[in-house]
Amino acid sequence: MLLKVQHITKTYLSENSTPVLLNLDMELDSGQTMAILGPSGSGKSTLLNIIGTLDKPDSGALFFNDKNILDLSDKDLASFRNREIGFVFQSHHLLPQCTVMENVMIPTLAVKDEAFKKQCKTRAMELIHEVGLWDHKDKFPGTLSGGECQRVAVVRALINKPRILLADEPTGSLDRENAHAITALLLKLNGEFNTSLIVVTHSEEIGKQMANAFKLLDGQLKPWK
Amino acid sequence: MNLLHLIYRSLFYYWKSHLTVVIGVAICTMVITGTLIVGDSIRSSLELTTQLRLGKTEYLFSGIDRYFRSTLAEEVKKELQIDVAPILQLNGFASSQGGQLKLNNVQVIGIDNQFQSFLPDDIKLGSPANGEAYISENLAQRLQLKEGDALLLRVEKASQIPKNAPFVTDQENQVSIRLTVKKILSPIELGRFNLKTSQTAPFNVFLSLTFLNEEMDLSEKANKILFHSTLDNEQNIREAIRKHFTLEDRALNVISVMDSSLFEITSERIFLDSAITKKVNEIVPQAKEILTYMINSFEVHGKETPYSFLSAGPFLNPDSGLNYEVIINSWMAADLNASIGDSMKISYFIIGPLRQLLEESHWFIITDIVKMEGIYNDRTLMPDLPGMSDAGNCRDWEAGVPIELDRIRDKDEDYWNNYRGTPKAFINYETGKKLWQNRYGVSTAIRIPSSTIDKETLENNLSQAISPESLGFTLHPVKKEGLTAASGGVDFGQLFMGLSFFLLVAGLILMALLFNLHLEKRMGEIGTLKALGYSYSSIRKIILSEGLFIAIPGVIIGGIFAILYNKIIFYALNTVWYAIVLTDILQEVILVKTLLLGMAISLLLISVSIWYNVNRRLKETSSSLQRNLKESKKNNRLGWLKVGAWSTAFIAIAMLGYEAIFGQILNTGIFFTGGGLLLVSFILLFSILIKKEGMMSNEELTQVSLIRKNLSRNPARSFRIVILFALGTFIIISTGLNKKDLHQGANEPTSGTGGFQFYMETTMPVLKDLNNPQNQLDQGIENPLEFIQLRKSEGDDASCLNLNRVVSPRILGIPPEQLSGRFTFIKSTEDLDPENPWISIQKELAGGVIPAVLDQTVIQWGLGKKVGDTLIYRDEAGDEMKLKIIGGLANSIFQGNVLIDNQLFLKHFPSNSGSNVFLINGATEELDQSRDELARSFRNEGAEIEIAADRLAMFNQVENTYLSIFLLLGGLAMILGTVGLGVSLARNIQDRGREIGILRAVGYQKSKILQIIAYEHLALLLVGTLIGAITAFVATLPSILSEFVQASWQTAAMIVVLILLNGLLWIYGISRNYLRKDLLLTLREE
Repeated sequence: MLLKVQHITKTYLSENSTPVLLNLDMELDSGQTMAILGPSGSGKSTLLNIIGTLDKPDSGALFFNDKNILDLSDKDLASFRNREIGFVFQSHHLLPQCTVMENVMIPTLAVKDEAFKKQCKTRAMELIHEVGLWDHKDKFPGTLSGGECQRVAVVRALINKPRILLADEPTGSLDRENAHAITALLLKLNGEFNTSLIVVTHSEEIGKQMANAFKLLDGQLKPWK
Repeated sequence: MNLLHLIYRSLFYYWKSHLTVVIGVAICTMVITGTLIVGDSIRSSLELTTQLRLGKTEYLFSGIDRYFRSTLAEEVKKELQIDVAPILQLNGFASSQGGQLKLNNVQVIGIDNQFQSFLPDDIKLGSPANGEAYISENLAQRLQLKEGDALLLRVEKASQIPKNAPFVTDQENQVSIRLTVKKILSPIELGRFNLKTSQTAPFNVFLSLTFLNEEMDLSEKANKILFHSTLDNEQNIREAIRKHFTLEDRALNVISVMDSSLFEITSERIFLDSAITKKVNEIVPQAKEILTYMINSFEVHGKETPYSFLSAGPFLNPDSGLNYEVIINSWMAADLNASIGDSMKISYFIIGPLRQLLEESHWFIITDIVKMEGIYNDRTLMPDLPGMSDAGNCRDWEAGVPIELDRIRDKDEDYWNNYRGTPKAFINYETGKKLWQNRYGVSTAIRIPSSTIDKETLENNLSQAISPESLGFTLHPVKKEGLTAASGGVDFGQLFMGLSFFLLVAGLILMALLFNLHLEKRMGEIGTLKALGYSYSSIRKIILSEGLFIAIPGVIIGGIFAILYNKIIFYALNTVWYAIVLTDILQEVILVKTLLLGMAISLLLISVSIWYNVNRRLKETSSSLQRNLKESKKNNRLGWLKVGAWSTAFIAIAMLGYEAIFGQILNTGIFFTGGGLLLVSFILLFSILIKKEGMMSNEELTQVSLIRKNLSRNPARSFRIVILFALGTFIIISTGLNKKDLHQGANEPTSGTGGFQFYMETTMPVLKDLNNPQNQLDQGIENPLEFIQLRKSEGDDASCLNLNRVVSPRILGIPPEQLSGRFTFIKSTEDLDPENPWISIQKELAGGVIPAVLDQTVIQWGLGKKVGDTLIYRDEAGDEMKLKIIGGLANSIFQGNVLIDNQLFLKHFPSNSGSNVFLINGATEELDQSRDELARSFRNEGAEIEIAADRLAMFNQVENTYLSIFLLLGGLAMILGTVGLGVSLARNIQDRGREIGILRAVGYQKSKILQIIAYEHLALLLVGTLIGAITAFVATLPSILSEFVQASWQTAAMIVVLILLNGLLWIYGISRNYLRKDLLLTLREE
């Protein structure tokens, strides 16, 4: 099992004492896709942040290839996140000062493996080409449309060949056409690179396109449809 | 793509906000580096002043009112092969243009060709010819003299004899010398020659040493020797001086008397002190002291013999100690018709301080009448008294005491003609000593049987036993001491750092504010980098590197501006702030190491600030950062803030309360600290309030609550604005309220003037008691005045007008009983009786320590000491003299001097003659007019007369100048504060574009939105200003309540109003500018 979430509980101190995640369990294998749906404030993003090691649960364990990664130090977690996790957010969060190519290459700067870094340049070009942005590779985010920016964000998420791609409302700020295109792109790349995909979304349409879909209610994941 | 490339991209993309950070960094660097450069420049200027005033002089040999052979210098030179120069330095005053222009306190310096070696090598000066003078530039300027002009000098008469010694005339205390100005000496030509530690240029007149000696009726005498020796030669010089220091240099003579059966030791100073007689007795136990005294009248059976001499010594047989037996010579026995067994009344003057005469008399029994032969006919028993010994007849005597000429008979003249001052009566030495010993000595001669020792051995033994040091001569490494004083003096670097402190803090806060505003723009980026797997250290490295890339140009620009800052400060020091430096030798020194140090310190401070702010941001979660939202989490710091706020408030209230209830006087230091702590407390309380506001959610929404909530959106930003205004207002108000009214209360006895009208210093000492009506009339004072006469020792000025760190300030001997109830003590040790503080200084403390009083500002700043500390001096006999500071005065006209009791002063400086410092009261007319009259009365003494209130104002002016600088720099800082407010406001509106757009979309009028935003910032402005104003009021309470400080309420209020108006203008201008934007555009931007 690539990813195993075990008895995760998370409560925010500033709110009332009701946990947003309560003894939550889930599993995900290599290449699998999963959608997590739920109303606003149900804890979808919190779960995604915990899986992505950006946040820590109050209790529980998070196994990656049978190793509890919550035991890792902040530094090792950052390294783990850099190599094994790819993030796509609702907003693209591209660095406005960098070109498309440079934005894609940003995650590689945190990699220490020089041989791997060298490969990344070629991979970046391939991916940019693949998402249809080759002509825009030297442009700055400010000159691109929202859909184009989000495609760059997807490429950036995949540049380090992560085993899991986490997408938090990746189409939330896009129009229908661009939303379709991004979902298709995510699934295509999932198939192509065998990268597991977890998508947090409100969109039932996206949910339907994923192999597994759950709804987060009362801190627990429940099968959706 | 690499990290450097990413940083490079960011630098250019965010150039506008980077530029604002660069400006903040540049301001910080300018202040830090600029103040360090100012410090270097002043220090270097003082060192230059030391070089200019001393030339190549390394060591100085000098005594107190003693003169030695000028050839001593040459003898030492031959022995050590080093450059030396004897000089005869005297006090005088000068006039030109027929007395139209006058100048007091002139240094008259006799030099010979050897002085040349103390000038720079390329300057050839030579000694002035007889009747010619070299003068300093400042003297030439003041007396409007040019080369070839005539100059009249009146110089204090140099004499080995103390001026107020008994029977010494006071008629020839000055010598007038007419001179032609040969050359006007520039500073490099030692025009500023000064052996005192001071940066101010003295008025100098250089004459030929030989010529000056002639004018003084001296022969080849000097009173100082300059040494130029690059080696550490102090011990060698000391030994060489000892070796060549003759009896003549000690003012001692050994002659053969009584047909060479006796050696007689006498002093050119007339009296031999007990230390010398003791040494002589140790060398030759058979030595006998003689004390010859002038008697006003010998009376027997109603008949008198006037004005004759009496010798006390080994004349009675047997020498039976203290008794009242007298032997008279046959001449007087005949004159008085006296017989053995008759009672004789002997009347004489006792000469007190300031020539106060008291005629006393004593009855003796005539035990023998002796023929005028042998030891009873020895005219050498009369000491050599100038004005008497050389007088042709008795009527020409200048005895320093009143002589009633009509009492002198022809037979007295005959006796004078035949026997000169041969004593007519003889008593036992012990009796004479008891009656006539004085502070100048205990005998007029010592006689030794020539059978006990040969003359050469006696002279050698005397030289061995009486060292130059025991006569008060000292050898000082003046150059080293001067440079130490210059480097240890007022540290203008630290001073301006202190004065610019708020400007610096404001610059740092502004820089932090600008950097944080910039960082807020980058929050999303930081969040993304975190999500992409960048470790904290990598992100920190990126932001810190970027920060440094921004900071470095800022630091370089700041460094350049620091030079400009230094130039502006120097311009001000040479013009409007001249009062605090009092020298025209100010040179700008820009040392690369200082420039780099200042820039490095700035860079370090800025790096720490950036590092702290980045770290703070990194604690936020990635999603919060990306959304630029603060996480709503429990604020752990709130508890600490509460502890900090309440504890500082408690300490402040406890300190202030204790001082208010138990303090004898309101201590300014405690109140300032208390006010400062309250300021911290209030700022922390505001921080707590604003943080709490952000956490409250159940409050009903009103416009006021909305404003409070809006302010708590970014508590750090609101907090910084409040700090800027609170600190600024605190500094400005406390400075304004502490400024002294230069003349208020100056007539009060408890004020710094002591209630006196005038403070006078004379170049020549006044030898008489000026409270004697006859003496006042003699002096030309028509309306009686009250004089307090003070004695002075040589020493440096330790007032705030001297920038050097003075070690031995001038000592003033004061009559404590005459100062009772005057001046105010603000600090004291237990040795000082609070009821009669002045009387406390009359008694020596344990171990012979002398109690002393100084101005508290001099103790603290001039000397770097505190009440209870001890100052070490050498007295006239070369003995160590310990002065314990038992009291500190509130600012007074005594600033720069150490005050001790007059009697204790005379005990240690017995040769000191007359007074040079006077406190005067009793003038009834206009003070300016009275001052002119006093100047006329004391024109022959070279009097410098100041209205006491003006003198005090001059010292206070220095303090006020410092406060003005503080106020100005504080004002500059407030401008930075306002810039901070403006930038923050602009950013706030920018951040809230969506909110503003929506408010307008739902129907809010522009004016209403403007009102909400303006009120928010107005609230910050008012809170900051109010905190600053209240705490400044507490901090300056002692000054407000003091009768001597007139709080400049108007200035302070005007500045606060200006701060508020300025703030309001910014708020209004920026808000209006933003609201002019199109509604749709605003929404579209969002």
